[in-house]
Amino acid sequence: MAEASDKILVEMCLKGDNKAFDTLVRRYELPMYRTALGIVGDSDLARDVTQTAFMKSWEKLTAYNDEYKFYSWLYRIVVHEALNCNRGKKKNSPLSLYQPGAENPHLILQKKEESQNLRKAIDRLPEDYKVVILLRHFEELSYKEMSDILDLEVKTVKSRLYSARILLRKKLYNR
Amino acid sequence: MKQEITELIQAEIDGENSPEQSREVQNILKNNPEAEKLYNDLREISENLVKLKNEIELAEPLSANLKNDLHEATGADKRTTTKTIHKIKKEEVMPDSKTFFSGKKAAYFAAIAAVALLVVFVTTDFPQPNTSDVTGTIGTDGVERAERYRATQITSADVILEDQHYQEILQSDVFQRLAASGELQELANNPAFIELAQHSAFPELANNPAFFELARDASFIELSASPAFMELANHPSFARMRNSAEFAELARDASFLELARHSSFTELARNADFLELSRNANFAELAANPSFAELARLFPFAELARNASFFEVAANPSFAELARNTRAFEVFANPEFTELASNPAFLEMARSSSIAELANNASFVDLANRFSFPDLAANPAFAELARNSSFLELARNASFVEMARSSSFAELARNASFAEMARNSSFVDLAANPAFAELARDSRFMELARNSSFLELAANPSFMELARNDSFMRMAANPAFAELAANPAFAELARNSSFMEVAANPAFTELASNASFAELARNTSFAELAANPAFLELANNPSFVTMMNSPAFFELMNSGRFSMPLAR
Repeated sequence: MAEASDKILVEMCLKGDNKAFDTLVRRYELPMYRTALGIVGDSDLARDVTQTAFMKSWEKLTAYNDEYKFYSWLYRIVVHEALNCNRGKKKNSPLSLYQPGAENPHLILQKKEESQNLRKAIDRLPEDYKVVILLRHFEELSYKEMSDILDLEVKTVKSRLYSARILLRKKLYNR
Repeated sequence: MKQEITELIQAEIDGENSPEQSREVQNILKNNPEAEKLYNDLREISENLVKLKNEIELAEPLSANLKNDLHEATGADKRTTTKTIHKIKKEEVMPDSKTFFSGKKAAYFAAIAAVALLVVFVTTDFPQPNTSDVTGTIGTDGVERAERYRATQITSADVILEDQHYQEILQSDVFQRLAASGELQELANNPAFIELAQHSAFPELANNPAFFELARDASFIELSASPAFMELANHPSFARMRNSAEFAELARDASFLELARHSSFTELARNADFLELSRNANFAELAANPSFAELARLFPFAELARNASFFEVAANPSFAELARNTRAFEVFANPEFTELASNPAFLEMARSSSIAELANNASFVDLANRFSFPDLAANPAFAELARNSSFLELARNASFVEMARSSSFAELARNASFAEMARNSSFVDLAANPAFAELARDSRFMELARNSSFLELAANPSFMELARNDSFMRMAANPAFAELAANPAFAELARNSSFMEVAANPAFTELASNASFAELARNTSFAELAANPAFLELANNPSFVTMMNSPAFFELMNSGRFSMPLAR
């Protein structure tokens, strides 16, 4: 089952096969978690967000339109959940990308100055900019896929991505 | 840099270019150092992001937990029968963030808040404010329409609420508190609210799942019951708005509801100044500008907008006029600008009453509306300059504004060396000097000012000091001096502090304004002399400075007997 395409797995889920959904979860849990983490900045919250997003996708699977790629649809749900999560946070609560936590395995890597600066710079980006940076660079999605996920025109995705990069450049290299 | 170049560079980094476009990019990079720098920076950021991505791991798989959750939530293997599967709407899953805070929608925010409260309050048998007992009286079997309240306005067929949402709202602390205080009753008795609830868009809105999300928001409920909001609801312009076709459209827009839940926005909307502003016709027009949405979406703007002074500015007719300019909006929506706007110094400046005065200045508005200004303002160096509190003072100066309207000035201002110079607080003083403005309007001076040697010279603090001197200004207006000052050797000389000391001497400036001196300065030998290390060494010698400062020496130089032979 692990090799089955998303489309087949979704069809199996719709017929009531929960194992097929489990396969989909295993297939996408890391990229979804990564995206959630990038937006909410806390590993525990990111886990919750990812879990909720998977639950929602399961509940609403009948509404999934197979014109779109399954993972695009999942990303859409995760991004929405993560943004909602941020809105529910108290104002001015610290928002640090990859906050070190007990289970955070990359704590050790935080010592790397370059990586740390980059994390800080991403953290300080406006939310919409952060999302496009994550989808493009972490998930390597195309402009079109990002446009589907964010429900934006491709040209808006491009311009938002460019603005985000310029802002990152300014923050990192001061130019 | 041209937009088409930046687009090509970005697409190259993202691997979205055709082979032909990739070749074009390579050609551009060979011939355009600025583009090459941009490409290299973006490429490096991209590579580092990939490294960062690889550092992220999921400590423990989610799949095991999820399996349990799914079983708990729905019962094993009964996924499709245990719950009603909603027809998912695109916006239910992901809001259209481009419409976030957009245009007229922002102006209608208050209306939605009113509806949010009404849908909870008017359509239920929520107890009257008998403050002795406000808890535990809420029905649990779904939604029943309120008989006591305007039974003819909304029918149960119109409003079908999902009880789980409904109960959450009714049981929220905020709702309970407001109900106990009587604020909700007061609101619901408000004729404006009643009218609002009769709006044709209301039933549809009430059935929108996103609306319930909004209605659950504590700050929203609180906002709706605030006295300032009540006042707004009774305002004639509000009545016009809620009866408009746009409102009906808005009420159906899930993204607007999403917007209204944004914490920054609700905080902003609770601000009494915002309510005052929202009544202003200029603001309504401003809010209708699509670019405003892009601007408003950015967090730093929200921060800026929470500043009371901002409202003063925004309510100003001149500002509205400026803000209606699409090009200006492009600037405002620029990340550099929003970053600037979130700078404490900028906010400090924005709080200053002077900014309203500035925005009222017709010349400034005219300047800002000019094509060149938005480009200039989008320049990071300019943003840095604008953070300088003295800049505001300068910008109010009529002479400066007059000068700044010149297209050559805009060109000059985009020059990195100029920006460097302009960051110097003394420059602001200098630029505010009417004599400087007069000089700066002269096309020859502009030509000089574009010369990097001159800019380098002008960035010298001692030069600034000197330049504030009226006599120096007179000298600078001399075409010969301009010619001289454009000479790199002169810049070299002028960087010498001793020279500055000499040049600050009124006698020297008088001399320098002298036709003979001008004649001398034009002479290439003089430039050569000035560039000579030995001469510079001499100029550094205190005795030389003393000599130069001596009245007798100036007398000699002014006589023409000294300079003319040298010029030959």
